[in-house]
Amino acid sequence: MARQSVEGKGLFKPQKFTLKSGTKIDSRFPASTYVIITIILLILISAYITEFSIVKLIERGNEFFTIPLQMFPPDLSYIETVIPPLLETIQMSLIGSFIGCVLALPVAFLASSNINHNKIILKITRSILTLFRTLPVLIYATIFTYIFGFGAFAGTLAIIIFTFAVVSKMLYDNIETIELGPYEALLSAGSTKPRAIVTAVFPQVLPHFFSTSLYSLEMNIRSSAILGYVGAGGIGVLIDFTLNWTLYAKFGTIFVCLFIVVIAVESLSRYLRGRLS
Amino acid sequence: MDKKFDKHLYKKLEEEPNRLVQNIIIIVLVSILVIWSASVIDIPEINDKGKEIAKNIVMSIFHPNTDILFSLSETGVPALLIETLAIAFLGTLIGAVLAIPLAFLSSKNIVPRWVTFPGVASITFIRTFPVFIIGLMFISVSGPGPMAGVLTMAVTSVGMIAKLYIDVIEDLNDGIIEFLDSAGCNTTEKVFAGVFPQLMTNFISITIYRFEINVKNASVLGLVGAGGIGYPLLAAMGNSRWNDASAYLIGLIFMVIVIEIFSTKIRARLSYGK
Repeated sequence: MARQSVEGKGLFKPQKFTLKSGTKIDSRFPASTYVIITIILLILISAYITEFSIVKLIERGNEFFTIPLQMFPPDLSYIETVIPPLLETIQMSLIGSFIGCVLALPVAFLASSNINHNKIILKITRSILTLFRTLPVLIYATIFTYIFGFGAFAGTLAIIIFTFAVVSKMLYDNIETIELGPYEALLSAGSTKPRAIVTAVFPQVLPHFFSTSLYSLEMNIRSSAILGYVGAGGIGVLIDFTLNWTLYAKFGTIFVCLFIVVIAVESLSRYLRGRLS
Repeated sequence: MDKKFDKHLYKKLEEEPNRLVQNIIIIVLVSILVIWSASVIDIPEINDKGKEIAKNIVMSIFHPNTDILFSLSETGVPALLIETLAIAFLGTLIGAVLAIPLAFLSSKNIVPRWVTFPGVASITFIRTFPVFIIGLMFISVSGPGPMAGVLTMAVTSVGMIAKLYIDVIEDLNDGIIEFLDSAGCNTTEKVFAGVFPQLMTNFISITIYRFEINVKNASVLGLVGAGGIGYPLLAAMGNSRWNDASAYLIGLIFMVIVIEIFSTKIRARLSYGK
């Protein structure tokens, strides 16, 4: 062994090795010790702020099942009432995702640094997209219900804006990774920029675009339950009603229907996305 | 033009499969779906009240209630943001820890296929539950307040985190484990030297990503009174106190953007090294 003497255990400070030749070397700085200590401190602080108590959780944990137990067996006679708003939810998600994705396609090109070389427009587009993305669907829906009144329109508008912001971001991340050779070849052959984008960039981006669109549809169907809760149309309105009146068996029916729809849309979307890639 | 070259090009063109019929069917199907769903958009006439509210909202964005925005009391924006962060942090961490055994039990390369079924099914089941319903269930456990928020975040995070963990586990490089095998390592050594180092960076990256999502979605907890900035925000909007709402919104946007920047930086460092 070349090492002669070792100083310290290397827990808080790097270990110091003195080699036979007299050279002193340090081991790597033990960052993980400090990271772990910070995380433990943050856990303690968070637990203090949120009044988290394990004792309470163990003592009253069984209360968690009071609502689910009343949900089953579901009240199947309620199914006739559930279907129309459920269809409305699907319609809202479909049209919302569709319009949101169509709007996202051109904007994503404006926000890709390899296609759009105008730094100012790039920065502005990206900032606006970031701003849109920070707010959850729920907040949009709430604001729109105050402006446009309760109903599906406010919810659909919220879905459109949210889908637009998320899909644009996913899309410009993808556009920035494409092969630019064909596009530049067309430009140097005298093609116009839009023409070059359609011929050389679209074929590379479209599969990803369709896959993202399907993914956003999945996401929107899942989040649409919340929309109705603030009065923006769809199945959530019924969820709000049944929960407020503690009609948990009826809520069970809604839940089962929603579950089936989510699973169906998810499986279909996964199958189609598998075909795309 | 060279004739031979031309011919070659035409041959290539003809080799391309004809997708016309397929594309037409897809376009027709999508159009039918879109037209069917479009009936839901019944553009309401915006009455004067709506216009007034829209004007108030836009105006108030530039005039937030600075008393709340910078107040250091318990109901001020900074305190609420810290509470929201604490809920998201603790919730994500609990979810991430719970997701580890669940993910291992649901990975096809760790346990036989039939064993994975209950795990995969429960992950899908958890993911369908809307957040605020889990919130309601936990409120009957801990009463309204941030603790219910933590538990809700934990349960809703488990589904997605476990799903992403499974993808990572199923991509494990078996070669390294075989190599350790041939070097004479026992199972514990194999797990610590061959499995953990491969998984850790990805697991941490996924957890940070979910933390980002949880911070973004924390306002949903306000719907059921499970703590955080959501409730004061929704209440302010409900009472048309738009200047207050604007203060909460600005705080929320600021927090989400800061967290997003940090999360992106850390995750980029985790995946590309230094």
